[in-house]
Amino acid sequence: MIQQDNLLSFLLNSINKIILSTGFANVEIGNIIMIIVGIMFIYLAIKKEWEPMLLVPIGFGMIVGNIPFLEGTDVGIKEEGTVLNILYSGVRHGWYPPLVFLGIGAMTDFSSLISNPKLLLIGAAAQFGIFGAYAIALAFGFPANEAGAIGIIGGADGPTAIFVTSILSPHLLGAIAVSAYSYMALVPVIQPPVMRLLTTKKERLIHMKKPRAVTQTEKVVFPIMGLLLTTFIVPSGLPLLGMLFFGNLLKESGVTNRLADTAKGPMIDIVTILLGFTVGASTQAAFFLTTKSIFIFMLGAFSFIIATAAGVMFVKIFNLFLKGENKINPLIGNAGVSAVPASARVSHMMGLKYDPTNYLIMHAMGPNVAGVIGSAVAAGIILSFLS
Amino acid sequence: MIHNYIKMRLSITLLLLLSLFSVNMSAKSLNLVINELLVTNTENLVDDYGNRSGWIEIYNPSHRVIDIGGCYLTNDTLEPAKYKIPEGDEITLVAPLSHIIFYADNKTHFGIFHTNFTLQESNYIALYDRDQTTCLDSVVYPLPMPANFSYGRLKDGEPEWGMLAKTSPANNNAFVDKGAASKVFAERDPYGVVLAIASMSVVFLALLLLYTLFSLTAKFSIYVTKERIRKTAKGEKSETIVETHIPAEVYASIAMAIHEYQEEIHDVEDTILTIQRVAKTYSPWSSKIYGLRNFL
Repeated sequence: MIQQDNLLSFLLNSINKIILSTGFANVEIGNIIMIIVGIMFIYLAIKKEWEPMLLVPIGFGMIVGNIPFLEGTDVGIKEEGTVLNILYSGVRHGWYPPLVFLGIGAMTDFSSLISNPKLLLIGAAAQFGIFGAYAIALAFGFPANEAGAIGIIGGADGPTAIFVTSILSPHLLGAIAVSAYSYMALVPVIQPPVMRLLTTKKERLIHMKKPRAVTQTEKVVFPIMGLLLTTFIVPSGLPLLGMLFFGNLLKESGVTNRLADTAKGPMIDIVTILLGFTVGASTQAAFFLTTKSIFIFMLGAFSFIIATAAGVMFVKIFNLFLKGENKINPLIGNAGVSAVPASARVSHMMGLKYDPTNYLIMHAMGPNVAGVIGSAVAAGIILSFLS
Repeated sequence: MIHNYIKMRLSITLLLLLSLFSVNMSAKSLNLVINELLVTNTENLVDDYGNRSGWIEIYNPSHRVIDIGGCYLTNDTLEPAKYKIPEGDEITLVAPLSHIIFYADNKTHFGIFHTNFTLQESNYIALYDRDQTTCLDSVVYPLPMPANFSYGRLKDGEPEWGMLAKTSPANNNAFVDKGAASKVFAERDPYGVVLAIASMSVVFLALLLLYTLFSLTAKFSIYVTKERIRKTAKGEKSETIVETHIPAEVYASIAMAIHEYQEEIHDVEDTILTIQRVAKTYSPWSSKIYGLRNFL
């Protein structure tokens, strides 16, 4: 009889233990909210096709990261040595972003930039969003290292944002990464009103000169000279710029097609999966649902607006010094942010809207890829000042 | 005309580049400094043999591992190679931003880290490179020094020296705040204006240099192309032009194909004209090769 009692209590204890370890017993309202946000990301990616390559892994990662469990079961992303934790270390230590940049370099055709180098300056002007957001974050009372990480959202470059945040403010990684990628997905929504507001109808109708054909030699020289010039000025941008230009050289050299194909294909796909998924999984409600995150989202949107406005305004001012067919359509100013190719596509669509014969995509790709270089340089400067 | 223009742009670019290069020709071969020392030790650091003696702390302020083996420590200005630190041992590797301790006890038989002099003998100590002539660092310290008090750099690797409030053998001389750089920056630039101006200037400078360089490259490229065309016009047929010549029939076929595609004109219904690579559906069942024997 006593033996039966013991067996029964052991059984009940075991069942109780199982119940206590389930997600149902540990769930909090924050987890539910984050799971809903994750599902929303997946919905937007599938239904609206907003940056699906990013939003699907991030959204699913959000769901995974917010499945409640008992601490100490060695499954969480923040628990040392777990599978998710090891995958997340690529984000925490900034390994993934340079690998993504390698792929971006191998994908990017810098021809439009080489044929019209003045478009580089638009890429520089748009980086003002970073420093505008930095100043506002300081005014909101964020410490300088956090303000720097928030500001970099304005560069509209997810890998750069993650790289800088992992060094300056690793505790904000989740919020900043999600914010950066979300706004990149929202580029077609955020940028057009700013562009409309700051341009006249006459300016929107400007037809730009057809870009000249670029020789293979120029394409090969570009990554080498680009690397030397930018990294000699800002060595702290070396991991990003080094990989970006290396990837581009693989593409343009014409003799390393297999390497270029790997960099822009399987490698970037693998890194994007790991990056997106682990960033999403790091947004655990307890760390993510804070007032700070709300401010980060607000400031992120603001930095995008400033960056877009700075790019457009810079073109307008630049046009004062240009004549005739050399004038630039200010609708490509928004492309100075480095959301490739989303912002260039926005320029193109806006151009077509006002003049169905005005194809701006090739012109807009110039500032767009300049934005990639500009944001990496800006990231290097922020790191050298604040880290 | 174009030559002068290119020359002028090239000169400007070179000037801009040269102004950015600041090469420190007098750079020392090894980046190691004497960081702290204690002359009289009665109740301070104990060595592996349980003895107390004066000690010298060497600091590696760089971000790479440095081997101190083969360098020299001396307390005599006339004898730079007084104590040679033995080479070829892993323990002489100084990790980045780390310290290494030498006991100035005149007992070299105790091992690598025990010198053949003491700190009471003079008020001078120096660290020499392997060539015995390059002085990596030296310091003149005040004597007499109170027992168990150390003289060192107020912050690791920085130039100011003084009596330290507490000894810190193989540790930082001052508390290091990891976020200090950003805090100091925010204190001096509370509105972010300096960062914005400085950073935007650097971003513009970097991209302006690229712009200048590639404007120049573009001019050069156009010039070369024009020259080639000019030569071709004179009768020298360029190989590339011959190679890229496309017969008119090809243009006609492409135009016809596009026209048929756009107008949805189909003369043969089950055939699709495409420029995309098409993989044939292939099955081993339809292959004769699988029906054959693999041996004679």
